[in-house]
Amino acid sequence: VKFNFAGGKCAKKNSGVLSHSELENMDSDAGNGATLQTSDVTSPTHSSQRTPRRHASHLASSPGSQGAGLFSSPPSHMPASEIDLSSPLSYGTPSSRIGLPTTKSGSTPIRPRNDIGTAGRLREVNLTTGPSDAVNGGDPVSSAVTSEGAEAHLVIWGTDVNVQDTKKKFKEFLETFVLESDEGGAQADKVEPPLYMARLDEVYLLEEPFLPIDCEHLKRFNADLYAQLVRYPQEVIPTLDLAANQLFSTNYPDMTLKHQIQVRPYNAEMTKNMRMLNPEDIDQLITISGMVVRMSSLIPEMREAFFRCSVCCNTTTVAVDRGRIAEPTVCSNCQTLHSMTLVHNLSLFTDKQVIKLQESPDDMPPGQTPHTVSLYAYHDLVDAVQPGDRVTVTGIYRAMPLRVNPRQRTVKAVYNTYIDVIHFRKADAKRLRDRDEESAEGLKKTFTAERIEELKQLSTQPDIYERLARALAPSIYENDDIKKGILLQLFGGTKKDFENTGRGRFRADINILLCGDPGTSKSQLLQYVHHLMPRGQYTSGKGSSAVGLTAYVMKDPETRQTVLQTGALVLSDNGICCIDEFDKMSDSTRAVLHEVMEQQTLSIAKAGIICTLNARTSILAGANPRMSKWDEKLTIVENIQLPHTLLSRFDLVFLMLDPQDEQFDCRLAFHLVSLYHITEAEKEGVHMDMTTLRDYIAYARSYLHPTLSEEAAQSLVQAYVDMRKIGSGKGAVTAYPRQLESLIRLAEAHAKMRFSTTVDIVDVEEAKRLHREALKQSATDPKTGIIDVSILTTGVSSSERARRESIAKEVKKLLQTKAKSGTQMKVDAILEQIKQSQMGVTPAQLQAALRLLQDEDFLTVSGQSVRIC
Amino acid sequence: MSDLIISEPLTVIQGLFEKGGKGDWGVEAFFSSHFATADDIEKVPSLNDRPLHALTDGCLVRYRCMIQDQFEPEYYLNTYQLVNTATGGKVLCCGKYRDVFNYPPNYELNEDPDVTITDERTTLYCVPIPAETEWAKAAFRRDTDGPVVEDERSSRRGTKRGLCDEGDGDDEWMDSDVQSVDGVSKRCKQHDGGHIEGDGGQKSLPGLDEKEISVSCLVKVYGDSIEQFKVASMVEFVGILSVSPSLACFDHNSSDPDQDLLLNPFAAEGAAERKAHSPPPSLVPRLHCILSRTLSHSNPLVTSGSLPLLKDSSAVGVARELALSVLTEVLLGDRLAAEYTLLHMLSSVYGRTEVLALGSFAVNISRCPVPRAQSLSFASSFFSVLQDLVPKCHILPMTLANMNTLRFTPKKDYETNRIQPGTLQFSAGTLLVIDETQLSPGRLNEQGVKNLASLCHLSRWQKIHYDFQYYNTEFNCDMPVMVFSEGRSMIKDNCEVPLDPVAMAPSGDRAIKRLTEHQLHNLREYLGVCREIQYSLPTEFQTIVGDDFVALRKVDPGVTADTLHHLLCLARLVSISYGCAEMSVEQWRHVRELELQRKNRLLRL
Repeated sequence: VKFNFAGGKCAKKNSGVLSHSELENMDSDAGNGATLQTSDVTSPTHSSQRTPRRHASHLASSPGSQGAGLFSSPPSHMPASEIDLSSPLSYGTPSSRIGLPTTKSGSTPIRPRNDIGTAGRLREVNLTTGPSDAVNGGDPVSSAVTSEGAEAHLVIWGTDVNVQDTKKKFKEFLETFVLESDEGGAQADKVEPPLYMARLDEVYLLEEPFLPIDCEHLKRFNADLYAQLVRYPQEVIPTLDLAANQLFSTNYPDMTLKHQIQVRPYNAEMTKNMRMLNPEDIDQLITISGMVVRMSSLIPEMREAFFRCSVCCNTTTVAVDRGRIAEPTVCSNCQTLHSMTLVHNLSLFTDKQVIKLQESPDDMPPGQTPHTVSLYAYHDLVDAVQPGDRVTVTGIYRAMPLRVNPRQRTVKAVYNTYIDVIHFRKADAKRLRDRDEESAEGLKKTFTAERIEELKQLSTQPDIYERLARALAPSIYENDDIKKGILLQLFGGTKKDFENTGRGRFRADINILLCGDPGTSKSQLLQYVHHLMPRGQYTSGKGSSAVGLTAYVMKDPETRQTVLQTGALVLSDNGICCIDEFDKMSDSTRAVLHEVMEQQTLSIAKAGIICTLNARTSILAGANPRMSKWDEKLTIVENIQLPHTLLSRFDLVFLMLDPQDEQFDCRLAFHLVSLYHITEAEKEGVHMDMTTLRDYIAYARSYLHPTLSEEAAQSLVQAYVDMRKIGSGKGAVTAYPRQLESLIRLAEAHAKMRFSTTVDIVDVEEAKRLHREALKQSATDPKTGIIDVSILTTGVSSSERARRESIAKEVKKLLQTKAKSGTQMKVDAILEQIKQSQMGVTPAQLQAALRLLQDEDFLTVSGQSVRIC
Repeated sequence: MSDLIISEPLTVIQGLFEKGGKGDWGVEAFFSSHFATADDIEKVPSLNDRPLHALTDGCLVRYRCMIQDQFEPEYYLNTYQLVNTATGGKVLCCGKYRDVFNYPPNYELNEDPDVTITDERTTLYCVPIPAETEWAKAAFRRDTDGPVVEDERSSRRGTKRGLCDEGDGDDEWMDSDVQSVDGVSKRCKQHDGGHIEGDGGQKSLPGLDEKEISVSCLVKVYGDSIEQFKVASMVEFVGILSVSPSLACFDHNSSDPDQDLLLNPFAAEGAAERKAHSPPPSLVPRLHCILSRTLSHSNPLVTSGSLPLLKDSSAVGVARELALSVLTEVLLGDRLAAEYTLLHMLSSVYGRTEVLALGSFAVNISRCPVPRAQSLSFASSFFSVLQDLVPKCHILPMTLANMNTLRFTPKKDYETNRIQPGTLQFSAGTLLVIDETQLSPGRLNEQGVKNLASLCHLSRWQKIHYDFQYYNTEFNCDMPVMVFSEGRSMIKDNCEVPLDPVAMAPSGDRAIKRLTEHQLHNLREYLGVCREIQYSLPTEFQTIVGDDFVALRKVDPGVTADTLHHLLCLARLVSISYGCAEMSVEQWRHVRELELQRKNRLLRL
């Protein structure tokens, strides 16, 4: 084996501020690049310290000095060249170092990448003589690389990464990669510009020198390069940086950026659940998601220590390597021992922050506590996220040994693990809008092809609707229509966004209210739904204040920073919020729901924070009648004492009444006994299990966006017109546009349930049927027996309103005959008199009638007396 | 050989390691074959009973505990190599089952990644089973043998009791409104126990409480079996004790803390977390688990040998009658209440369908006599008897102060990255007695409302919310809840039994004192064994139950599905109280009879 000693003298690892490097000057094509000289003169003593030997000793290190090297560093018995990747780069032999610092005015400073590794120095090994086990460590990939080309192959030590090759490939990727549209080349004539060239253009325009790269794209372009990136991110990413910078400076030669472009790969395919991380992932590129729970304050991390001799004032700088400073013991100028002192304010520091990421609750197996992992964020990634954010992090997994004391002969062989963050992807408000696509992507990963096939198979079953409804809360007996309603709620309508055309966003979520006698397992149903949906929230109206439901502002006692704590409604964004004891809620709390249930946003103006949060949640509420037992003689509004403004925002209002029927009782008893009787195994066969149901719903929710077909639209219009017609004969309005919207949503949900991309007549029929069933239960006027939507929309049935008007007329007549203007009368007296002419007038009806008259300015009511104007 | 395994397990493991082999080099198989029977396991000293100073570092111990928290997995050196600096000779060593390794002076650690193997293990924060009663602890101790140990233990307890008495007195002086809750004789111990479960994690941290030395333990488990260790479950571990003082978290090694802070990246991570995760091993020892066994119950009298009791139906009958008579006496001569209480004591969650916790049976004893000043409340005197019967129970006086100041549910503290225990974090099978008679009118603050809600949630669904600040997570639990109240309890959805007293004065634990040692033993065994019966409902009962239900509904339209659930649950409990695994017609009749009596009493009182 012949080794090529390259780059014996390395350029000093320079700070971003001091160095003046020329990327364009890099002779990158020649295989032997020229070492660049920095414009500031490195002291000879200093550079002589940095011989390759030093690095070698580094790797053969004693316990205590070396960290990640335990995992990443290759065997130390090999001499090799050394590249300092965070400095002006040098690839080549000493002979080629002719030094050509043609300093242009527009040079871009380099900023070291702490996220890639503190020791950004890489060594290249020349493998000219072909495969060698000593060099490769038996790595087959590496051998393949070496054997295929005859020319000199410089490979980064311990890896199979060939710098030139990688650079070339990556440049090619940037220049040519075109995102294939999903239509699959249908628009062949329309030539899209290469995606990442457009991104570079953005860098040019925005002057933000970061280039995010989707690993998925890279993989599609070149799987080998991708594999290398994932396996050796510490080595490959600086190389990618180089390539990107060279490309950038060729395209935009006159542009000076703040610092060099940094490539930020994200979406590495090996997306890990936090629980699946294991020692094999160390030093690899990983992508995990979770929730930020804690952040440290900003930590200035020393990057370069500045020493001054207290005797002769000679100064020197020492780069910090893996958290350690090699403090010079001797002054190089006056040779005084131990005279060098650290000068803090001349040393260089980097911003750093420690973030704790906790596994998201959905990933947690039951009975286990969530795992957390530390993230180290550097530079502008500091404060990029906030506690409570759900983020997807791409970074390098690291392990650092924890040692008791380097001087003792005991070793505590435990490692501290953390992730050096390269990229954050926040599930933020802006992204949530196209969350469907994103979650669809995520689902592809969670669902195997077989599972999807299985679900599709299931959807073709003719009785799928009934099956799913039955699978929903099987322990709750019958109530099929209610279960169907909830099922459709779980699927939800199609999201429609017309904001661009100025018509706003339409609610796609279906809200359902269950009311009825206590003990009709409303709470159980709510609990079930809460457990079924991954983003379900369960609160009780009694215990929850407006604060707990919406969001509140809190002062962090430590930082004095105001933070927004979100409540149940915001937390269940894109999910379902189950509110039990809806009727027990205080008025102020209920007021919040008005906005949530139609606009699906939540406005907060508190402690100087004014914001609107998304709360696109379906609401499933349960309410008990006011008098503890449902009164058949009263309308729903009177029974549950909810404002009609709120009531009309529910798409479906179901009554869960206790049927007094022997047959029913018998079946119910049988059903319940079987719960105590049938063994687990038998139950599986009868019902679809919860996971299948969950997967089915998740799949439909994220993949299917059915649109109305022509006939379906016609049918809906017809249904609406019919509904209006029913009432018009009797002078009452029986349907409002809100009902039409409800019908559309229900029909869409039903289509989703069938895995259909269009809404067809069947869907509309079912939507109509369900809607009618719900209305039959809730909006029937107890006096006339006619379904009257105005009970739900205005709180008063039309017959009741007619009655009030007639009473008002009567009262007016009475008062006009009996009293002159300005006289007072007791309300009780009026009631007595009116009862003579009109039978069965209740005080409440009289009050309502008096209010009508007051509106006419005929009289004024004050307490128990009436004054005629 | 056996002695060597116990005193020098690491040497044995190193021996196995040198022989080679796949996976764990046959360590687990070796140990499980050696400790196959209960007798074998009992030879291993127990960390529960022996003081820490009586055990040596690196010896084999067993530990019976509840998992309170789980830490993140940690990576450690599974295999490492020592190089002799003088001769160059190399030795491979096993790094599993130990925290720290020492090496002889002329050796050096070889960190070559080719020979070092890194593996992961998980740390569990374990505490002795909370709310365990004295007799259960003593029974476990007796199992362990050794008069020497007993002596040591009792002398230690003696001093502890003294300390504790003082502390208790102080407490009563200091905060008289957080009432002391226990029977006079039991007060001291129980109070102490309250400390453990109240905030065991924090208390055992340095400088906070020196009383409960060696109570908690950090158990390190290996392999992929982590999923089986659930929070709040009871486990018995056999493993290697590790108390090397170097495990404690030192603040800084460096003389210059400033520089250290700048250079040591881990100084940035809260010192609080490091402190919480690596307390001094003299207070919280480490245990490297080799064998583990999840316990379904913690009754020392329920063993494979107690099955004959069930076969002898007359013995069961006698025990049942005895239990009823004791409970009747405690409950002021009310036999119906005693019957319901007995059923309650036997109840456990035996299955969950979707959200329902089948088998959970919460009881509310209403119309309790109001305690006169200075005297013990009725619930407390009942509790003092309960303590002598069941292995685990806890009383919660629902005073305004307790409601407003205690935190019932566990909460994640992100500062220390630990789950702080809540008052209600108990293992399965702990009887919870809630004394609502202590509640006085007043204002509940936010914490109070939350606490009340979690009590209701627990009673209804047998689930506890763990507060993770940004969201709540539900954990299933199994803690039968019994509420003593003057009127109808605030905690709804339970079975209300109004007390109909015959005698007036609470009898205290006289009923227990009268029993012979043998009778008491039988009683405890009966309660323990019956709880574990696997019950099934015979098919022919489906129609009987169904018909009865229809008939019931005809009479009373207020009968709902919940009523039927309740009846079926009662039926199961009555059956197992007779030691039967299947329901019989008489037992169903008995259930109906009980319910009828209760209904009538509800109407009457």
